[in-house]
Amino acid sequence: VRAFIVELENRPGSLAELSEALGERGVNIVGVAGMTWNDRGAVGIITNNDATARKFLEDREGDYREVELVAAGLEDRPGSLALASRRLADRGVNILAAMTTSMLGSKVTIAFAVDDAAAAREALGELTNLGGASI
Amino acid sequence: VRAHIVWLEDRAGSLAHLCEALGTRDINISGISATTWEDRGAVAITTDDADATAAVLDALAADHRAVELVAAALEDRPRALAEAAGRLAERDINIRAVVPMGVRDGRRIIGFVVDVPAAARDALGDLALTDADL
Repeated sequence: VRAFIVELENRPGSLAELSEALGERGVNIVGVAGMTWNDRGAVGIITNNDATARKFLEDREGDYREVELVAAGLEDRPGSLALASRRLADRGVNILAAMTTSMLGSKVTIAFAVDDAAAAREALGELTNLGGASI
Repeated sequence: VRAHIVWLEDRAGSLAHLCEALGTRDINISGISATTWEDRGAVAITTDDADATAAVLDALAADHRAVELVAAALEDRPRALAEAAGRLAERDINIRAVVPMGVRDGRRIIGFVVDVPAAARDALGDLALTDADL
């Protein structure tokens, strides 16, 4: 699973314009996480149609980057995200984005966009078993 | 729902450091939204104890602020996010952060951080959820 991190202006309407443009192309945004600082912002999106989303983002003015996601199924308890993020840090894996994608029973699925997906999978080990959940 | 936005360095270990500080104080992180750009990064977290979270962040001397989330339930279909974001844009409401809060009854629950939460709830109308709904 891949995600797109899209740079946006920090102003009213910028997320609406992006999501409307993707919606007009029939692209469903199935995951979203965004943040702003100063006059800029960045939003991470997961879609059901990466090819169409990619084509739109390539043609659109503005920067974006495409990243691979590695998901971890974490127990819903204190310290579980610390365990996962420490495993990534100890392998020197940088987290570029992260978002909660599902909650199923006592499990929370977190999708990490990282700079080295293979190393991230290895570092996370059994945590990549999502127990029936999906991104 | 209160959330905390924390600005972090974009480097390996910065999120782990934050999460470990919260975990050792028995604070559960219930939701996370993080993005990076260039050398900056920011993370929005929801926890089971907002006041204790603020105290930990203060103790870490972290660059942070507490914010109120306005939650909306979106259908799982194209244009669902566009409609919610469009309603906010029509009222000239700026979205500071977007925090995924899980899935309920087939709908995606999204938390918006905005300048004026009351106006955002009004703009979102039937899409908005109350704290009681959550």
